[in-house]
Amino acid sequence: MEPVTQKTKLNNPLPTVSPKQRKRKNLFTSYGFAAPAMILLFVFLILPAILALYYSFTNYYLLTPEKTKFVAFENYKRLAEDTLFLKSLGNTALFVVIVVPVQTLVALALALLVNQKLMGIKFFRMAFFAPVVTSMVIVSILWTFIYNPDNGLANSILNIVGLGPFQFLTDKDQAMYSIIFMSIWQGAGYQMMIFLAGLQDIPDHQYEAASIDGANAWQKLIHITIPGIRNILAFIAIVTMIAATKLFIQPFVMTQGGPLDSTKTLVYMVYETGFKFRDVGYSSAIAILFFVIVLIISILQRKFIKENTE
Amino acid sequence: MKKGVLLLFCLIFAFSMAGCSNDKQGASGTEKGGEVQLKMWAHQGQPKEVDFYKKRIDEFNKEHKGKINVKLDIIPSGAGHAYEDKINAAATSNGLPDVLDMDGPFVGNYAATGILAPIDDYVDKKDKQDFAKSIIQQGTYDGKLYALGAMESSIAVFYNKKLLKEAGIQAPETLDKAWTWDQFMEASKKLTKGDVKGLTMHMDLGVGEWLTYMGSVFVWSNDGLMLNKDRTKAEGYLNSPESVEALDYVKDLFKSKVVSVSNGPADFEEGKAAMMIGGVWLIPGFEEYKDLDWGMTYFPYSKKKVSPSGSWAFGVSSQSQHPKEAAEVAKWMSNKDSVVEISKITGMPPARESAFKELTEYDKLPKKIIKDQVLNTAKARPATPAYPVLSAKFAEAFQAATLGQDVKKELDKAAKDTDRELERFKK
Repeated sequence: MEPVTQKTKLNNPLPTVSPKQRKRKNLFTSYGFAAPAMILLFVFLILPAILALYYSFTNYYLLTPEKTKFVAFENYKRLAEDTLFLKSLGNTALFVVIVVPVQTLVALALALLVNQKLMGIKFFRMAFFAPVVTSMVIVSILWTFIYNPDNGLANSILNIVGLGPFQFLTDKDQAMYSIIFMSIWQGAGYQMMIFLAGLQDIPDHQYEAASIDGANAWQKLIHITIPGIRNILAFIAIVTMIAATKLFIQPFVMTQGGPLDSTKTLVYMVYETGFKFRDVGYSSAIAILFFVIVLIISILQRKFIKENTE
Repeated sequence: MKKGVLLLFCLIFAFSMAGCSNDKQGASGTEKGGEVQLKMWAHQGQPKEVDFYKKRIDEFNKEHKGKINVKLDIIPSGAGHAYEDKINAAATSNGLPDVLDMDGPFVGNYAATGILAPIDDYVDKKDKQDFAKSIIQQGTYDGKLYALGAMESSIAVFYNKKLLKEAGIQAPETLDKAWTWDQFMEASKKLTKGDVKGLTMHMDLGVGEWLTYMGSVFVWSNDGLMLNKDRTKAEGYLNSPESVEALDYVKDLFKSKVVSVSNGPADFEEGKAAMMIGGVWLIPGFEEYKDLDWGMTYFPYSKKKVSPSGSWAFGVSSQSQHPKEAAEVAKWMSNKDSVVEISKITGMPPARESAFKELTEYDKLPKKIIKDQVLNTAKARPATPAYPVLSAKFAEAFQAATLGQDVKKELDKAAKDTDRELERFKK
């Protein structure tokens, strides 16, 4: 900035701004900066959510929006009697209940493995992370081949150990577990990376001190490592839970929700009802209920974790 | 500084608005220097088929230079419902192209919901008579014509000549000698040896239209129906004893292990299955398998000889501002030249009788089988607005049958869901 000379001061005196005005101006600037993000959020997140709530009380058919009528709680009544909805809810719950703890543990184990200072460890970090950056659709298609009961890789390998052959995706009792296994394999690398960052934040001198005190590896893990990454653990548990409830691509690509609805999830049902069957009203009702369920679980989880960390 | 921010906002808004309005204009047809600009969507079939669409539209544009210009977009269709999803999404956002390519059985739903505009006024009555009856049936809803197809389709039983000879089996070569279900079952059992299955039914295509397209024929052949004559009711038809018996036959095929639920996509071509219930569009692909010596025979029957029908057809969207010009495109894509050419490329039977006369390969085996089926036994899937639900639920019931489930229970469920959907359109 140029130094303010006497002359410019005379010709162009600084405007007198009251603190109140300045505050208002600051407010304007900050909202101005937030506006692009807020507008996008409103248009693509909040508005659709409000619309979904509204549609769930109507009989909106995708191709005839002009004939939409208000039907009050009819969609929700139908939901209460829909066995397919209960089945989808059960399938989603099964996926979440297994994936969240197992994937978190696998990721932690992987992170501990690749956190060692060994030659070529970067290669393994990359290898474990590679499935994460691969498109889920491609991964799903690949695993459809791997899971082929007659000439797939999975049965060939299991055959060497003397197991199988398994039917995998074409058996109603195995399809969901096949998807769970593949999803953990695909997703664990992501949590591993976050854990790794946390692990590297734990100062070395703590481990050194523990070694001097004669602590073994297990005691170090329980008393130093786990407490050191407690916050990250909580974060990962919540994020994985929310991501797991949204299971869709795997059943969409690999099984189309079958066989016998054994891999139909809530989000799949929302898609199928809303797009394939064009029944937006009913689809919205499912989505709203799904939202409420996830919200309740998230609140409970937060509360539980908060109590634990305090 | 502040002015800069404001300008930036304005720019962002301007761009986003421009983006929106561009889409809309393009969708409903515009004019550029007197030349009508049209948009068209076609599904992504086999590569050669896509090339044909592009080439034919290029020729159309050359022929109509200065009057009509069509921009063709090829939309992936996938094994699922990707193409239908795209149409549904576009229909709600006023983003439909002027000319639409759609699968035959969906015409009823699109017509009932007002997505399509009737094209009777633009189609010459005499020309209409040249089309195969099944093609006009599939394009007609409520007495009005909505779509014209260039291709008909059919499913036949393909067989590996070498493997049949080894097993001492002679496949029927005339329609009156077509295999009954029992004979077909017997042949499949005889042909199943070790790693080679007697039959593949392309279960790798997933739970989608294929299962309904192929599976409905079993029901019809056993004197069953999917809906009543008025197409207003599924209960008592879709789950009638005849329909249940039909899917029980399919169940038996899978139970006796002559056919697998986890077949590979090319088991027949690679000699891992002796016979295949497959679409006639697979024929051009056989060229890649030099060792394959194949033959073709009729769809097996129970009480009535029936064969599948229906294929992609062209219609005009109701959102088009130039329906007359758009209808020209639909007619162009289904005129005799197009029909003959696409039939040669895809191996699909032609949609016009005059084209059959020109394609002499349909007079002798193996393609005679297709001609016999198209002209004598073809039956279209019901044109009903509830088709999306009916098709999906029937496909699920069919899959349940292949997995050895209780067929009656599954068809009861399918009938109930279909009837609820039909209620929606009874007003």
